[in-house]
Amino acid sequence: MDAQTLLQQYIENKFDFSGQALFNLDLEGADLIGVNLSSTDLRHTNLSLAYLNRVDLQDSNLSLSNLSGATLAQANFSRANLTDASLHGANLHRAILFKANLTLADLTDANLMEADLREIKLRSTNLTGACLRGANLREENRNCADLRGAILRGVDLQGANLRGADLSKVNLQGANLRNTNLRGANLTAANLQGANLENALLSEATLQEANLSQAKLQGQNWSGPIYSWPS
Amino acid sequence: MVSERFPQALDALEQDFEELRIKKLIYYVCYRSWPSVTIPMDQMALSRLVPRLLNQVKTAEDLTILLSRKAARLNKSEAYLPIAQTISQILGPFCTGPTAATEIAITAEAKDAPSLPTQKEDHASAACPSSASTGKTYTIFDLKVALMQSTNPLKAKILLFSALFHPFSFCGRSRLVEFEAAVLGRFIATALSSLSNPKSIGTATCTHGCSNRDARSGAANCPGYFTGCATDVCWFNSVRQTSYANFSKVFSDGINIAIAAPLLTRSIFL
Repeated sequence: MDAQTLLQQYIENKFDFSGQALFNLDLEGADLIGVNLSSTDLRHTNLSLAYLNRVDLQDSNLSLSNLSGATLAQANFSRANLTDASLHGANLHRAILFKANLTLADLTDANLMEADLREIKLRSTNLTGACLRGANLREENRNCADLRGAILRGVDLQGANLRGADLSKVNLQGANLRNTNLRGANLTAANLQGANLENALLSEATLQEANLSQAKLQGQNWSGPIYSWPS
Repeated sequence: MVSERFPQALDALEQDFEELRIKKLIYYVCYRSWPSVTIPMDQMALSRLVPRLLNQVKTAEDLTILLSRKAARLNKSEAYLPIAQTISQILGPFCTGPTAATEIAITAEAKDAPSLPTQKEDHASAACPSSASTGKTYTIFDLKVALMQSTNPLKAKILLFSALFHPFSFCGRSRLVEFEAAVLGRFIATALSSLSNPKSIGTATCTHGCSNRDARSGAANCPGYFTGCATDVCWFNSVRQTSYANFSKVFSDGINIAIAAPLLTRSIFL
């Protein structure tokens, strides 16, 4: 199916495109609000600045796709493959990314407020400047979000739930972690330089070798977490 | 005095069977983020939240509109709209502008031992200018959140970039290096600092050869306007003048999130 056919069918009130091969299409700025794109092949597809609110993208393959600036509020990406996709400045407010694979994806300045990020794979993902206020990254069934090698510089995680998350060696320089739930999180060797940890829940968190220089630590009593300053 | 009945109003809200949702909605209106379970109880106290809420409105009508709009945007809007109405009915008589809000704040302080919210926000690491009129200080994070709640982050970034440096263009898919390298927060910070030196704002030149002197008609008159390049350079050329005027107004008053976000949104969708 080509882009024109798809858009025409959408205008004619067709909303179910599940299971279709839609790779390499140019759908920049397209209005596809609420369509069913579950289990579709969307590899290399250009969806930049597209309107995709509430779109069902469960189990779809979006690797190397361009979703920069797309409006994806409340979209469902459960188990979707977004490897190496560009989501620069995308609006993912309240999106469901449960078990989605975003390895090597670019989420710079993305809006992930109140998004469901449980068991998400964010290995080497660029989240610089992204906003994850109120997002849910908590450990689920002993599986936590995979953030190994992720770039979280200046990320806004205020009020987010990162209970039990593995943030070891992650760069959280200048991040906003105010009121963030980090209970039992692994922050070993994490870079928290200049981060705001005011009233963050850190009980049972591991902070060995973490860099806390210039971090804001008001509201911490240090009774629970294991911590140490880097030598 | 209006403040004499204020403790009774607080009691009425506290005794409502939807007390928790009342608190959540007021918190959401006050802080523009949904309260998480980690928020300390004292921050959810009505004696803290209500003065802050009343400080945002001048009339009972303003309060009703503000609460209804926010409630309508929630997932459970059908549950929260009646709650918005309840709050408006109870607190409406206390909406007589910031002076009354201050008075109410003092009354509430006397009622409860925990300290009242200060005008200053709890954190101000990335310091922004404070507003002389409201005394509020916001961080870059807060402003970014407000922008993100109203518009697409990439569009906000493109607009700021175009207003501050030179028109952004997707034409030829050649992304600008400085655009890719910098984050939205940095553009906001640059916009703030540029106020002290307005001449640092670059002048835009159209690549399609039109003079584009008229901010409103410039884009439509440009030969490149209907070429299918949705984010045409002239489109930004036209909005940047208006938007910068808006930015100047917003930032010269200090960051007022309540007006900054809608202004930006309007600018982007001109």
